[in-house]
Amino acid sequence: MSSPYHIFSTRDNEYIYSTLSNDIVLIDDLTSKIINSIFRENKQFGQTIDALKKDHNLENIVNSCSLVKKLTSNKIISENNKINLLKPELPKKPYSSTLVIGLTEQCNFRCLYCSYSGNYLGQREHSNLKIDLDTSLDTINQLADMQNQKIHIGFYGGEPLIEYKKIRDIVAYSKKKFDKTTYSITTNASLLKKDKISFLIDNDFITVISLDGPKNMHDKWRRTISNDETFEKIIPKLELIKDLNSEYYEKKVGFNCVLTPPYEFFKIEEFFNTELFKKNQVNFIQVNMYDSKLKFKELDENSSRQLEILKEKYIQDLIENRPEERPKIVSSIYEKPIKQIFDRVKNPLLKFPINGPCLPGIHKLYLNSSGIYQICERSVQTLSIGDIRNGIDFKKSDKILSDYHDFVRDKCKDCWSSRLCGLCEVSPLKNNVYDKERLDEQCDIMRNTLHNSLIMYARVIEKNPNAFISLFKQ
Amino acid sequence: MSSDISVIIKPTQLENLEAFLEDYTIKEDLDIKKLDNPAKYQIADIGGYCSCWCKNINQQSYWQSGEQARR
Repeated sequence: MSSPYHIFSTRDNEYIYSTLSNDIVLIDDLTSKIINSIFRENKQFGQTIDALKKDHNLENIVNSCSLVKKLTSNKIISENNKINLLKPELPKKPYSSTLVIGLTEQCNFRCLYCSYSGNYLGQREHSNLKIDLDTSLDTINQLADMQNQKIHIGFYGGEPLIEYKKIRDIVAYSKKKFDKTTYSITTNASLLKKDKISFLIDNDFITVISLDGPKNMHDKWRRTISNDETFEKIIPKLELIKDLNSEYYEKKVGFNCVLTPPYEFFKIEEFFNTELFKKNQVNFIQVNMYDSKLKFKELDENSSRQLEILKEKYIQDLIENRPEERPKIVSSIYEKPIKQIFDRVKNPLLKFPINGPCLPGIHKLYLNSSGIYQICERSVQTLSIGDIRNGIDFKKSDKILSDYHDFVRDKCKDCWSSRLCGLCEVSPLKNNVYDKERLDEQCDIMRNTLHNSLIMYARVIEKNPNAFISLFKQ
Repeated sequence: MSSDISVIIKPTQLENLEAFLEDYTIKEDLDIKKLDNPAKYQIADIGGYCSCWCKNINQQSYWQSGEQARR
């Protein structure tokens, strides 16, 4: 078996993406057939040539064979070299630069698709559990003892604004302990009032508000405890933030939008391009279908068609230098993998760390409402890395990385997308344990996303080679 | 003790391809045409793009430029 590679086509061209060299090289259909026949299907070389002679003239076959030879001598594809995926290593002096605090498990909403709604296997449910202020401050002390230069603190719940006073206290305390502090909050916005908004503005919070698009789509899922609709409660809060400080609203307020069936992408895109939202960042997340008691439909023909049309607009907007007009949904779904492609590095590397997993406790430390440290708010307590009493256990962080590496490496070493992959320690979890079937599902989704991203990337660059440079380097 | 077993090493696919090409003159100038020029290897080739916004915030510029965390 050869080194992993992936062949994909745009409307005009065919390319080979090489995992070994990280290059994307133009090839033609005949070259692609030869590569697949001898390296993937492992057919005898003579057999391959005999079969091709039926449909192709000898000169073209010779030229394509010559290109294959050149690709191998440039280590873009290799018959012998295998890639070796390493376990990412923690720094010698590890420290956490992002702390996310799960202030409370209490929420004044009961959104049907919420991971904590009781509709998901292996997830906690809403409760009245709240974090002690002292617990939060102890964590900040522990982190400041590692380094006191800068920290980002995110406030998460439940609904974190239920614990507004603690937020104020934690912010004040962290400013005393660190030279530079930044903050964020994920909120349903229902409890925002003038004083709270002023506090967020004064402290330059990144405020992420959950909003699922137009009223009917939002209210279908996002309800209060007493099952009331919530859209009309939120919009005036947004207008209030904008009135108080429009620059803050445009630059620092973003939205999390959960995409749910029937996935009316056009309507959602239109909604987030209306006056109140057009300058704001929106992060679109498909509803979590895994391990749910609720049965969510997949994209149907109509929604798939809508997404394809928006993808086409995205490509044309970038080709014609209109990045500000590119569809937000496509940007949210595909721009991270496209950026990963854009950021890839050259040089053939036979050994590289598995792409995707974060360094637990370093990229982020999640403190849950019980005082337990986890690797992120998506993870479960099986991926805990210590607790407030005993501190952050980086040996556990290392063990989590080892376990993930052991679980995926055999699959990754033959996978063409291993240097672009975004799966992480949480991805293969099913009911809190690693599951082969879940990993296979996630790998298929990731490869499909990367395949589509490669096509979009190449289509844009074919017509406008600088499009992504100006987009990502601005 | 002696052995009469001789080991036949099959040529690799690449060796077969090279042997095939020896019989022909390559007329066309076949440069490798790369789509783009990836950056030189200078940062750790690690770091994915978990869908979580917090990881992006770590980079501080996400909301302005679509940056993502790569450590």
